[in-house]
Formats: sequence, C-alpha cells, structure tokens
Amino acid sequence: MSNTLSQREVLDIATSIGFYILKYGGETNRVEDTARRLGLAYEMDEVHVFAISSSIVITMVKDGKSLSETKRVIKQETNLDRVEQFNALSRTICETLPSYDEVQSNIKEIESRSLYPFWISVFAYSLIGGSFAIFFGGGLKECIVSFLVGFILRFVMHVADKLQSPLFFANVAGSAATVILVQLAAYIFPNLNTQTSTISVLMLLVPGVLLTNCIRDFVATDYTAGLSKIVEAIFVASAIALGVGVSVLWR
Amino acid sequence: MLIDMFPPFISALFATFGFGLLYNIRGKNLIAAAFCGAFAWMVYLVADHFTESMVIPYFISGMSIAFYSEIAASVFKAPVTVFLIPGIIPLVPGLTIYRTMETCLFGDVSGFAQGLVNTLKIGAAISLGLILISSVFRLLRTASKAKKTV
Repeated sequence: MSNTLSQREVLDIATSIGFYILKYGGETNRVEDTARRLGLAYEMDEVHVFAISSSIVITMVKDGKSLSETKRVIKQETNLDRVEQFNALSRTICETLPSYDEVQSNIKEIESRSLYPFWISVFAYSLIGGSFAIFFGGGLKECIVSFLVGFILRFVMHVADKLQSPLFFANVAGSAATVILVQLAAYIFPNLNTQTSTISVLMLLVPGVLLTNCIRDFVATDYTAGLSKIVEAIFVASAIALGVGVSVLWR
Repeated sequence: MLIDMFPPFISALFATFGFGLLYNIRGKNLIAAAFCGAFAWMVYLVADHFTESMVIPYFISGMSIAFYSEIAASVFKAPVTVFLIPGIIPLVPGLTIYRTMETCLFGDVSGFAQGLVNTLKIGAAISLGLILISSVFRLLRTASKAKKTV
C-alpha cells in the first residue's frame, strides 16, 4: 500500500518534521538524517539537508528538477517527548510510506500531545533547588532555602518568558533574583551557607540541552552547528555571571 | 563508604528527575533518565575515591553517561539525548564555576585564571569521555548498517 507523493509533498513533510525536531531540541545530525531518509524513502534522486540550531534548508532533486525549502526556528523550546515522537513517526513513514494527508494528521496528533502543566514545572524547579543543596553538601536549612528560592525563581522566569525578554536578560534577572533572595533568607536563617544555596539554585539555569547537543554535534562532525552552540553557552554563562555580579554589588 | 554515598545518590536522582520534568520527558523514559544522572554521579564518586587526579573521575563518568544512554536508547527505542541531556546535569561543576565567577568579581586575577583553567579541564574531560563512547557506538551502528546492505 505504498503511496507515491509529489516532490512538493515529500519536501513539505521532510521540512516540517525536520523543523519540529530542531525546534524541540533534537541534535542537528538527527534533523539532517531524518530529512534525508524521508526524502530517499519516497524515491527522491538526491536529498541535501543543511541544519544549524536556528534554521533548516532542504533541497530535493527528482528527474533533474530540484526543489528547495527552508524554515527558520525562531524560538527553541525543549520538549524531548516530542523529539521522540517525531523520531518514531519518521521511522514508521520510512517503513510504510503513508499518504500525505495521513502524515499531516499524524503531525497534528503529536503537536496536540499534552504538556506538563505549569505547576509541575514549579515543582520541578523547587525539587531541583532542594536536591542540589543536599548534593553540594548542604544541610536541612540550605535545602529548605534552595527549595523556596527555586519555587520563586520559576515565577521570575515565567514573567521573563511572558514579556518575551531576550535570553540574555532572562538569565541576568534569574541569577540576580537568586542571589538577592538567598541573601534575604540569610537574615531569617543566621549562619546559612549562602554559597551552597546560591549554587544549588543557579544549577537551574545551566543550559543542559545546549551543552549536550553541542558535544553531540562535534561527534557527528557538524562543526558549524557545534560552534554556534558553544558561543550561545558562553553567552548564557556571562549573563548568569553578570546577574550574580550585579547583586553582589547590592550587598 | 556505602552509607556516605546514599545522600548524593538520592539528591542526584531527584535533581535529574526534576530536569527530566522540565524537558518534558514522560513515562519509563523519565525514570531511566533520572537514574542516568544518579548512576553517573556514583561512577564519579567511586572513581574519585581511587584516584588523586581532578579530571580522570570526570572523564570516566562522562564515558559512563554516554554508555548508559546508548544502552537505554536501544532498550526503550528512544533518542539517545533523552537520557543524555538530563544525565549530564549532575556532572556540571557548579561549585568550580561559581568560585571562578566570584574570584573574577573580587578582582583576584590569579584565582580567576586558576578557576577558569580548572573549569575548562573538567568540561573537556566530560566531553572527551562522552565523545569517545558516542563515537564508538556510532561506528558500531554504521558498521552494522554497512553489513546489512552488502
């Protein structure tokens, strides 16, 4: 029951699936590989894909006619569940070669999968803050403070997100808020180990996806994509340092 | 030694679990990802116990996360990064980075240089461990694919 799709339709499928994997935090290599497989599965003669963290370009050649499409990723949002779903979808497509409409409805179905509600992310922030306080050798006091500061930090980041503040500013605000809140908590709990509490909460701002994908890009020899991620990571790190600096001056 | 390892194990487990929630990982994958971070940190602590070096434990635990993630990925039929991304978090040397930042703010240039070099050394150790194992698995995959097509 294999369907034959027009070049336009195949290109459209490959571009949108590649776009979603990129947007939800898949590695560059996974995006390129997926799009290439999809094109070749539907019997395109040649498929050329180039992706970096902010855009994807695909060109497909069939019977000497080439067609190309590009999509720009404006804002990445990490959702590894959807990366997994789209990855699985592309595998099934390559095996069963479904019709264009079927693929579109599959994509819609994945896009409508539920996200964790907001309170789960509030809980996660608090949990991470509290756990890292123990992890860095803190006691019960540090754990409680980091738990609460993590709780508040989620709302700070939420406001920054709602105001569509640039990544740099969001990190400055987040780390400044962390340091100030921990300093305030030190008034309530005398002899609180402020360093442990601060680091525990700042771990929340570590760009884990960026670092890991950067390393994965280098493994896959996508040096352009990897290099841009290193620059972004340094950028985020300086923002956090700036936030800490600003609030230390306040002290 | 076993009792000493309990609090770090539990805290690394919960912290990684929290990051899994933030990255929207679900179901079995979430549990497996949480254990990835805890496992990597245990490997770090054991390695740290047996060597004086600062970077070797990070190198070994970097290898261990990559290994764990590759195995988990083939067991749960999910992308490697689902386990790798949360798993790497406990290894991020938060304390070293924070101290480096502090020395920079207070104008302690030699302390800052020292901290920066240490941070880079740790970062390089983790990524090299990871790259080594990932490359081996990548090689195995392409080799098995090449066999199939022949």
